[in-house]
This record gives sequence, structure tokens and C-alpha cells, in this order.
Amino acid sequence: MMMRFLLLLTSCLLALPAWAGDDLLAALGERSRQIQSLHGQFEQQKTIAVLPTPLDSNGRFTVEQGQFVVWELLQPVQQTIRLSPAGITLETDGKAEQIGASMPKNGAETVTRIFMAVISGQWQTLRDHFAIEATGDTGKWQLTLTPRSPALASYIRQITIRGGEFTEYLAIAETNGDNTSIRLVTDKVVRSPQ
Amino acid sequence: MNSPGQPLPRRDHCYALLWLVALIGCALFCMHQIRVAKPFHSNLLELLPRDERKPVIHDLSLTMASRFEDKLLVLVNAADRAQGLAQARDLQARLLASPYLVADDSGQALPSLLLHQYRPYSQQLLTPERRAWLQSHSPMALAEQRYRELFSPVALPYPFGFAEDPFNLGGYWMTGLAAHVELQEYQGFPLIERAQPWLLVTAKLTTSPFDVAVQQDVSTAIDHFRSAWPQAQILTSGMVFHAAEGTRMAKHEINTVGIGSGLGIIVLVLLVFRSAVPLLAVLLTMTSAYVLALTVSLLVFERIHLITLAFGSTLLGVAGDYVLHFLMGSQREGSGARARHELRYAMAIGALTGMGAYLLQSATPFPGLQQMAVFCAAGIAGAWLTVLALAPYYRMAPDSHRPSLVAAAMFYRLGEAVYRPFWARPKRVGAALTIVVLMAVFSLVRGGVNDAVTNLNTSPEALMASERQVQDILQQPSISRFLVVEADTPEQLLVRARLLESTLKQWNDEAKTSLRWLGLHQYLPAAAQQEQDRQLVAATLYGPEGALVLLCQKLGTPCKAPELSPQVLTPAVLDENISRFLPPLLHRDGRWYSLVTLGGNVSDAQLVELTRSLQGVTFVNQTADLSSLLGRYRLSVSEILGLTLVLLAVGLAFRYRQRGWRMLLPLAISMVLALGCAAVEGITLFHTMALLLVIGIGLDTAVVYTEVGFNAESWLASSLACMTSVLAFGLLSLSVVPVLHQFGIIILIGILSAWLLTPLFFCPRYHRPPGQ
Repeated sequence: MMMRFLLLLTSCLLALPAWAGDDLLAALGERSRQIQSLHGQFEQQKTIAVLPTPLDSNGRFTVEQGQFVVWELLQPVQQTIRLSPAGITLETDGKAEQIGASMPKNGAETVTRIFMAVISGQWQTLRDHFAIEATGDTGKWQLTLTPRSPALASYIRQITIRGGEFTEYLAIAETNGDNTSIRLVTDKVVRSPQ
Repeated sequence: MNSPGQPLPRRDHCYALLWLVALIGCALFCMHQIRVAKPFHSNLLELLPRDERKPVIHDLSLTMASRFEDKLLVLVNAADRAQGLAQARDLQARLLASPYLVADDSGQALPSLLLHQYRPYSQQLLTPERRAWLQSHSPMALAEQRYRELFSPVALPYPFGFAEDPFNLGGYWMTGLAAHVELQEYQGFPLIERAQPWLLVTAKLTTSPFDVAVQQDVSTAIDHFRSAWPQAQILTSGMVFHAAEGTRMAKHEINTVGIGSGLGIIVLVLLVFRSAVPLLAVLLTMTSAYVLALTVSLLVFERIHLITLAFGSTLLGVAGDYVLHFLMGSQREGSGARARHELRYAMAIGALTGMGAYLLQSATPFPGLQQMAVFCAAGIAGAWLTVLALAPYYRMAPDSHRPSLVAAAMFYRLGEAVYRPFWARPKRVGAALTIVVLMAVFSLVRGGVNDAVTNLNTSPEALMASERQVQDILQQPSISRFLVVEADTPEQLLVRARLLESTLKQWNDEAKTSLRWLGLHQYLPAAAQQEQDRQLVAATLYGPEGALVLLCQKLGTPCKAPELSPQVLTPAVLDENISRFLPPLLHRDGRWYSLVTLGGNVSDAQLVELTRSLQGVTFVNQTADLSSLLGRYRLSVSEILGLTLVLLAVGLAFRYRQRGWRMLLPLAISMVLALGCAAVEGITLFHTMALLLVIGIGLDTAVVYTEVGFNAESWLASSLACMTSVLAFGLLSLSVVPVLHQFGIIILIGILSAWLLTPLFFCPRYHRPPGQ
């Protein structure tokens, strides 16, 4: 009897983190949905395997929940990426082009959509592509994303996302050895009317 | 000639023992083969002849088809994403519960295999778009673009890293390969967005799709899934579904024909002979015929199609002929041994002509025809030999009551009553027959011929529609319409395929069509192209004033150009695990062949026109080719048929002199009548094949009438034999499988006519009007 109880207890304990992770993810998803729009700044540092110095860049971002995401690179190059359900537009030096014109639509689109889902907190979309391990609580959390499909896994090794009230930090480790880390500072939030 | 009580000669015991040992041996052999080698299949392609004019195309298409053979695909409608996912998971679990199905991860390993294969050659593999881009931009512009890409989240996957591939040529190449398919992922399942979203569930068979065990597991999984999710909308694709349907159908036919004609024969025999021994004799003969037929077929052919078996079930009717004539003869003669002696020529001629007719069929290069021919010829031999070996054991007391003779006498009176008026007016009969034959010929001319490939189909329309929908949704290339590229060397082949692609591309742009294609050259550019591209890359990107120098200035770091491979990627070094996903490359008689698969709506005529001027490129529409092949075989079987009739006429004239024509004429009329009736749906190859069978069975009757005369016993025996065949083939003519239906209808009408018409030509002497 005692043994059976112990076994039961152990299995409950083993199951606990997964439960906590799912709950946390659900709570974070719920919080993202309450946000109508989000504005902020970012600082990106990209380490390329063979280059001695990392590539730094910065800019602004805007998320209109369910409508579009704008990622505005200001330094050292100017480029605006606008992602909406209608497609992805790239604006460089005042010239706008639909994605697919200069690079294969398929590859770029997947990567871009994943990136934008991370920024706007669309955890459900991400779950389609990644196994997500969530730790912490809604005040301070970390998500570790591992690709589900071998196709994606041959490019992305892991994505780590950390945050509190909003997403604060994001690191993408590529299979080729490159690493990108992005710090996000949210400075304007509009929540949906309850 | 011995009678009951007298011991049988030793020789007869030896024959019987030999027969018994052979039968047991054959039965054991069959059981062993069926259990171990699993010889039965329902693969229609194997029944079709190799196109003798283009054996390479046949091989190419078999290779293509074999790739789909061990896969099954199910699309689950995911309009409601969550429910679709639950359904897909449930279905996958049900399928994978079978020991014959495993998760299909072969395609999943492909990206990493490709990356590994391409890595050493990454600086010389350019898609046409990327090549044009490099040619049309200055090094400065290229450096600018790359610099921006390095910061941008809108970037391609970057498989090989900066040191090996600073301009991510590998990323462009890899994503260029995947451009044809828009497969996304949803929680581990490929998601295909068309008018409706679909989740793709796949599995791989660990055994042949024609293995009945896996067919059962798949059918059960799908059935249970459907009852668990009655609302679910699924589409299936894969050989196993067709094979399962083929098996179900063939089993159904074998059961209907086998049980139906078996029961009919039992009832008829019991009714006429009112004793268990003749029944036993009939069943024993049929069993031996079937066992020998199966044994010989298993020895001659590695695999046997289920249609052969279904068709073979009709053998029961044919085998019945010998034993019924023998039984009637025995009843008349009072002993089996005497009957055997009396009927030896009739049986030998009947058996040999029947076997001859079948063996002529097997001379056609049509594997399906050969199988049925060998099966039936061996079966006839089995029936004949069984009757010969066991005949002496059928003995009866000299004064025993023989109900069959009473029945024969009664039936003969009926026959006489029916035929007497006809025998009395031969001219009118002749005129009536001429009119009927003319009507049949008219119907034949009006009906014309039908060489449609759908005659070969065993799958119901719903299954075919589902298959087409899946192919459409997944944008799979057609396996029956493609372009064959041939050349002296693999290099020349790749060059020709590239040229073909530019023609197709130009057509697509001009005519605004959505023709899709897939060729080896897309995965493997010609060596000359690779060398040219390597030079272009070396000059524009890595030269002293190339884009890399400019890029590194912008980045503010020193960097060095990657080492370019001195080698080229050739078909010879292509990993086997990759090449089995690509169009096959065949080497035959010093020439190289591959194919470019096609998808989208462009007419055959247009494709022929487009590729007319291209050297080494041929458009192939297998459906049309197959149809013309069926037409050619229809003609050649017709020729064989004519030849058989001529040979028969000569042979019969040789043995029977003046009487020969009486045997052949009713047969010829029956054949024309059968064709006339079948012509409503257009005459097919299978109709003409069935006529060979009509000759075999119809001639038996005529031979017996000629040998022993039209008397009570021969009339009843022929009628019984006809009835059993009519039962078997009549049931076959109701089949939904076109081939079987076509066989059935010809033989049904042919034998009925032969049965009814032949006595017209065998008026007993005492009925003949004076002067005849």
C-alpha cells in the first residue's frame, strides 16, 4: 500500500513541471491576447561564427495584435519589415517590395513568421513549429523552443525567450554556429478594454 | 474391361497412386508457397505487357510507381484546427498500431541529407534566379544586400555559415529546391493550405501493399477511425488502398463464382445421378484441377494476380465438362474403365484443343493473359488426368438402378421434341441463323472497339476520386504523363533537361499556365554549369574587387574567401537515400534515361508541340500509350483467334473429313453472337480473349457429339457441362470488375449459343429427312 502511494506521488511529481509549463504558457498566451498594441525598442547583437566582432543593430518595433507587426531597423542600416496576414513587405531606402521578389518566398516566409510570432507573443503559432518548455511564473519566465520538424532543426538549434510582464530577451541559436540575441524594451502598451 | 468384383489391373493402381502422390505433393507445395512466398497480389501494372517498343519507359514508370507503393497518405481536413489535429493524431496512432506500418520519416531526413550532400559544392550551385541576380548586380550592390540581410529577421535559412558561404548561396539553393511545395508544419504534421487546410498523416509499409495482412490492418484502422469520427473528412492515397480494394473485390468474385457455381454443380449432379459417388467424383476432379492449376502457375510465375485466381474459379465449370461426360458415359457403359476407353479420343481432343487454345493465349506478351492461360491450361490437364487416373474405380453393379439414364432418356425426349422441327427444316434454320448472324455483325460494326484503360481498373470511383484529390492538393506530379529525356552521357542528359526546363518556363510565362515540373537537373546541375557558376561566383563575389571584400569593409572585419571545391557534383556521387526521392536515372544499352515529371493543366498536344524541337526529349502519356497497346493486343489476339479457327478447321478436316464443318460452324456462329451481344459496350481485348475460351468449351460438345453421336447421354452430359459453365460465367458477367464482366458476358452467350446451336447440326440418322 505504502509502495503504491509512493509510486503515485513520484509520478505526480514527475508530471508536475509539464503541467506547470502548460499552465504558464496558457497564462502568457492569455496575457498576450489582452494586449491590443505594443511599441518598443530593440537592440540586436549577432555573433557570426568566424567574425571577430559581433554585429550590433537597433531599432523600433510595433505590434498591433492580430493585424500587423512592424520591425524597423534604424542602425546601421534602414529597413522596415511589415508583416500582416496579407503578406510580408520589405521597405529599404524608401522602396517597398513584397517578399518573394528577390528571395524564395518559402524559406524567408517561414523564418519571418516564426520571428514575428516570438515578438508578438503568439505562443500557439510557435507551438505548431516548436516543442516549448516553459519555466518560472508569469512575473519572471523563460521559454525554450526546440524545433519539431527536422527541416527546421537543420537551421535553428534553439530559441530562448525570457520576460516578465513583456518579452524582454530573445536568443536564437542557429545550427551553423551563429547566435542572435535581442533585447526588447517595451515603452507603450494599449490593453484591450475588458 | 473389367466389371465389379474383378480386381483392377496393377497398372490402374499405379496410375491412381501416382495421381494421389502428385495431388498431395502439389497441395503441400501450394500451401507452403502461399504461406511463405505470399505470391498473391493485386498490382495491375504487373499484368500489363512491357511496351516492347519502349522498354525503358516501362522501366522508368515502374520505378516511379514502386516509390509510391510502400507509402500511404491520408489528408485530414483541418478547417477546425484543433479537431483536425486530434483526428490526425488518432488516425496516426491507429495506423502505427499495426506491426506492418511504421512512421514515414524518410522524407524528414531528406533536408539534412541534402545539406550534407551539397555542402562541399555550395559555391557552385546556383538557381537560375540567383545566377541572374549575380549577373545583373554590381559587387557593391551585392555586398549592400548581403550586409542588410545579416541584420534582417527576414532572411533565409543559413545552413553553411559565414566561413564557408558568406553570401548564403546554400540557403538560396536549398530553399529554391523546396519552392515547389508549400508544406508547413502543424504540431508535427505537415499542413497544406489550399481552399481548405489539410493535415497530412503518412505511414510506411514494412511489407508489400499486396500483402493481405497489411491491407486488413489499414482497412480496420480507417474503418475504426471513421466510426470514431463520423464527421471527419479524410482523403486517402496509396497503393495499399487500391490493393485492399482489389483484394476485397477479387475475394468477393472468387466467393460468388466459386460458391455459386460450386453449389449449382452439386445440385445438378445430385439431381441427375442421385448418388454421392458422382458428386464426389465431380468435386475431386475440380479440386485436383484447381490444385494443379495453382501449382503450375506458382512454378511458372513468381507472383499471381488475384484476377487470375478469380478468373481461374471459372475453371471449375470447364473441369466439370470432362467428369460429367465421363460420368454419363460410365452410366451408359456400366463401368468407368469402359467409359474411359469409349471417351478417350473425345476427352483427349477436348482437353488438347482447350489447352491449345489457352497456350496460344500465353504466346502473347501479355503477362496477365499468360497467367490466366497457364492457370487454365494446367487446370484442364488436371481435370483430364484425374478422370483418366480414377476412372477405373468408378464401377457399378451390372443390374444397378441408374437414375441418370432415366433422366437422360427423359431429357433426350425433351431435346428431340425441341429440335425435331428444326431438323425437319434445315433451309429455314439456315436462313434464320444467317439473319441472326447478320444482326450480330451489324451490332458489332455499330459498337466498334473500346481500348480504354479504365477497363483494367479494379478500384471504385470514390477511391479514384480521393486519389486524384490528394494528388491535386499535394500537387504531386502525374505518374502517367511525363517527359522522357535521353542522352549519351549523364552530363548531356542534364544539359538537355535544363534546356527543356527553360522551354517550359518560357511557355509558362507566355501562356500564363501553371505547368509544374520536376527533374533531376534541378537537384543536380550539369558539370559544365557548375563550373561556369563557380567561375561567376569566384569573380563577382570573391575576386579582388568582388563583393566579399566590400562586405568585409562594411563589417569592419578582415575576412577571407571560402575555398572553392575543385570537384563537381555528379550523379555518380549522389547519395542513394537522396536519389530515391528524385526522378530515376537509368542506363540502358549505352544510353542514359531520366524523366521530368509534370503537374498542372496543359494539353498533351501542347506538350508534344513544345518539346518537338528539343533533342532527346519525348512526351509520354502512359494512359494513351496503354490504350493503344490494348488495341494492338486486341488485334493480335484476334489474329490468334483466326489462326486457331484455321488450324482447327484443318485438324478437324483431317480427322473427321466431311463432318468437320458441322463441328466448327455452330462454334463460329456462337462466337459471332457473343461478340454481337458484347459489342454494346465496345469490343475490348478481353472480349477477344474470352472467345478463345468459348472455342475450348464449345468444341468439347461438338467433339463428343461427333465421336459418340447426339444421344441421350451426350445430350445430358453436354447440357450439364453447359449449365455448370453458364453458372460460373453467368456469375462472372455480373462482376463490377470490367475485365471479369467482359470475360463473363462473352463466355455466357458463347456457351449458351454453342449448347443450343450444336445439336442443330447433329441430327440423329433416324430423324434425317430422306436424301440427307
